[in-house]
Amino acid sequence: MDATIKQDLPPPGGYEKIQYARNPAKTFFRGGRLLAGFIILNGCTTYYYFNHIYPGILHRRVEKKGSHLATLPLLLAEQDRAFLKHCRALRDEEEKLMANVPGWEVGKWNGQPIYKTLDKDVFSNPILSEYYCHAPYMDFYKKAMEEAIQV
Amino acid sequence: MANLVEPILRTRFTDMTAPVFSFQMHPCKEFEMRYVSCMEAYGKSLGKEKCMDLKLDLNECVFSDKQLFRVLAMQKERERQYKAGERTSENYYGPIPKPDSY
Repeated sequence: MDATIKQDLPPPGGYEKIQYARNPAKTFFRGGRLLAGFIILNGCTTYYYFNHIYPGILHRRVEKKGSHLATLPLLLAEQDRAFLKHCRALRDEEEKLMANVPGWEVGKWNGQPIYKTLDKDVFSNPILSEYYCHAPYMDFYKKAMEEAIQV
Repeated sequence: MANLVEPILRTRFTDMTAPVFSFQMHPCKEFEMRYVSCMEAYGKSLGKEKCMDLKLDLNECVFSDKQLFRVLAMQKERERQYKAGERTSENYYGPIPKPDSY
């Protein structure tokens, strides 16, 4: 019986050598050149930005600010007008609403004015909850939380 | 409220903390100024009676009690009218302010 058993042995000529030497990555630039390249690139982009892009940004910003400032007096006047008109409407509504309540005087509480020592001609602004007195509660809530809720 | 009482032990540190508790950086600074000058004119014991109205006005400006009570009374009256049937849900609310007008 030809039973030849083949034993595991190294290949002819022996194994390859184990590489244990350090194999560093190839370097394209060293410190000085890298720094010089950084400075040149940044200088070029900064020059381009401040001479070709930033003037456009400035122009648009000035345009926007100018249009805002031009319409501001109109908007403020409209706001003041709406405020005073609504104050008048509040007084009329209070007169109508509390007509049947005994002892109620318009603009007073328990027969006393809000500010005793102020002149009658002086207009004191109503607080926010009085301004939204006859409106739904959610209107008041939204106005009061206007700065907190930024949609 | 203006601190009108001088501390028992007055040092420069108590002087430093004296203007902290005032309304001079507040919308009610005019009321406080008038109240304090009244107290200065009449003194501690007489001023309690003489400057009561100014004090109450300052109180009203800071806490706005009367205005809040008025608002509550009006809203209650509106609710009562609705429950009594004098008002319908269509004309329940009064004038609604324009947005951004306050």
